[in-house]
Formats: sequence, structure tokens, C-alpha cells
Amino acid sequence: MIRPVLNICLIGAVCGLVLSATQAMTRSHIDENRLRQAQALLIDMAGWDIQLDGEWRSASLNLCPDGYFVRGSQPGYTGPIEFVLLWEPARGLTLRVSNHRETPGIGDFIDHNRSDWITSMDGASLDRWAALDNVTGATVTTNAVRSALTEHGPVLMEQCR
Amino acid sequence: MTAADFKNAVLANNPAWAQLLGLCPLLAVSNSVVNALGLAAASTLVVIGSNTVISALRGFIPDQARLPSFVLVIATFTTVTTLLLEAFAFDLYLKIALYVQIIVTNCMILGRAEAFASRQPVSRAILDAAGTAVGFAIALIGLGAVREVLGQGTLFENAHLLFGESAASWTIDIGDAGTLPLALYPPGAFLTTGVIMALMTSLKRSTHDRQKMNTRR
Repeated sequence: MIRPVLNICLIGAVCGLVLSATQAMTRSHIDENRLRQAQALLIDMAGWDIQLDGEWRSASLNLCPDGYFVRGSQPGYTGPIEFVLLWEPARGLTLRVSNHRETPGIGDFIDHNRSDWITSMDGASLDRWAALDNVTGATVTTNAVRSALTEHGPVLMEQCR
Repeated sequence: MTAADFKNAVLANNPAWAQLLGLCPLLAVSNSVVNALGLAAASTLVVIGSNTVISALRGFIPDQARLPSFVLVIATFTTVTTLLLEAFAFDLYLKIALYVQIIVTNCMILGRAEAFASRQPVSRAILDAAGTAVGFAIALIGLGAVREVLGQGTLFENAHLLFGESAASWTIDIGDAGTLPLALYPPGAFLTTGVIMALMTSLKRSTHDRQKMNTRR
């Protein structure tokens, strides 16, 4: 009885080692890719020319008086939903999801490349975000984007005053 | 495994067209040749890697827990593939990542592990995996080509996502626009697949009938 258990543990250990080695090998490339994507999203969301420092890596960026930008994540249905949020006093709040693993066809309405839903919320008030009930029946996904706004929105809206 | 077995795995027992396995990623991702190629490469890496490891460890895998063990190995290779894509082909990752991650539940891969790799030596398991992967790739790329031509009138669009900037000029324009935009969407995938499967079944039947006639003579 003990041998099958040891064998399973051995297989699990080998798989764990392979995953750890791959993650260590790819981590810096993945971080760099995600950072570049967040920068590209910021420029796209703002619609105006932003001079980013070559090595901009922080989770927030003060662009006042024009706006203030943060990156963050919320727990989704199948892993974290990473997002970027821009506050512009002139246009309000703009949210884009930069990385997610939500179920295709159900939870991926938050992806601006697959659905127009999130762009239709551009400039929506915090009250409208807070009142968001459910989209496509994806409760966890909807809660994640609502929490992103209700947690970060009030802090952001204090900036650039 | 002989050449006939390999041919059988690719054509007569094609995992997608003949056994109808792995249809979810097949239908979801095959809206262009480049997307299809990306998923075919990812599936090939997973099926060959998992078949090899499962065959090599077949003496250690307890019979009572063989399915969880197979899924663990397949999940490992799927995660490795996802990480490699995210690190080295980020633009393609953004397009097909959701479907690469569900390779882990692809019954084509679990089926080959259970039916073949867990009972055969490594060399035969690798050949079987290669045959299965080639068969799946043919189905995927064939469907991708038909849908891309029908849907948007091009072939190899966005090849740079897979092959680098030098491949940006590989796009072949076949007319101004696709004649059937529906082909790019999920209902179009079902319809195109249905038509291709009907054609293949009819071809198979006529070949079978011809062989029968020749035998009688």
C-alpha cells in the first residue's frame, strides 16, 4: 500500500520540479511582456501622448493634472484578473483587463478584444459600477470588476484635484 | 509501430474527424491558419511530452490512480506550454491562451495516454503521439484554412505572431473580402466542420465501395 503512495508522490515531485524550473526560466520574460502590455493599454486608454520613463515599473503612475493610473488584480473564476484603471478628471474612469483566464463565451465579456461591454462602461460613475449586478451570469467575474472599481475608484478620484 | 499504424492514426483514426475528440479547442481556435498552427504546435508539445513521460513512468504509475496521474502529467505539460507561449510568443498567447489551457481536458490526449502510452515502450508511445498530433494538426489547419478563406478572403494573416516580423508579408489575399463572414464565428465553425466531415465520410464510403467491387471481381 505504501509503494503506490510513494510513487504518486514521486510523480508529483517530478511535475513540480519541471513547473518550477519553467517558471524560473520564463518569469522575467513574462513580467516584461505584461508590463509592456499595461503601458500600451495606458496609452490606448488615455488617447493622448504619454511620456513614459523607459524603466516605468510601478503599480501606479501620477499623470496629474491629466490623470492617474493604477495596475492591480482581483480574484476571478479561474485565477487572478489583472486590470489597468485610468482616472481622468475630464473623462472619468476607464477600466481595461490586461490578463485573465475567465471561461470563453461566459466570463470573457471583460476582455475588450472579445466584447464591447467594458468599453461601453468608459466614463461610468462609481454608483453605476457599484450597482452592477450580473453580466452573462458570470457572478465571480462581475464581482471582480465591480470590486476593482469600488476599491480603487474612490482613492483614484481623490487624485488630480 | 509501423508506417501503416502511423498513417492510420493520421487519417483513418484521425482524432478530430474520425473519433470526434478535442472538438472544443478545434472549433474555437480554427478561425485562421495562424491560430490553428499555434494550437497545433501547443497540442503537439503536450501530447508528445505527456505520452513520453507516461510511457517512461508506466512501471511506477499505480493502476488504482492512473487517471489522476495521467492528468497530473498532462496538466504539467499544458502549464509549461502556456508559460513558454506567454514568455516567447506573447501576442499569440493573448489570442489563444484560453484554449491552450483547456488542452488539459482534451480527451484526445488522455485517450492516447490511457489506451497506448501507459501500455507501450517509449519509442512506440512517441510515434503514436506524433501520429495523433499530426492528425489533429491536419484537421485544425485544414479547418483554419477553409474558415479564413471563406470568412475574410485571406490565408496566413498575422503570420508574424508566430514566425516573427519577417513573416508579416506572408499574407495571401484571395479576393477583396470573405464570401461568408459567418465562417469566422462559432456557428460557422460547426457548419464548416459538418460539411468537411460529410465530404470525408462520402469519400471514405466511395473508397470502401470501390475496394469491395475490386474484391468481388
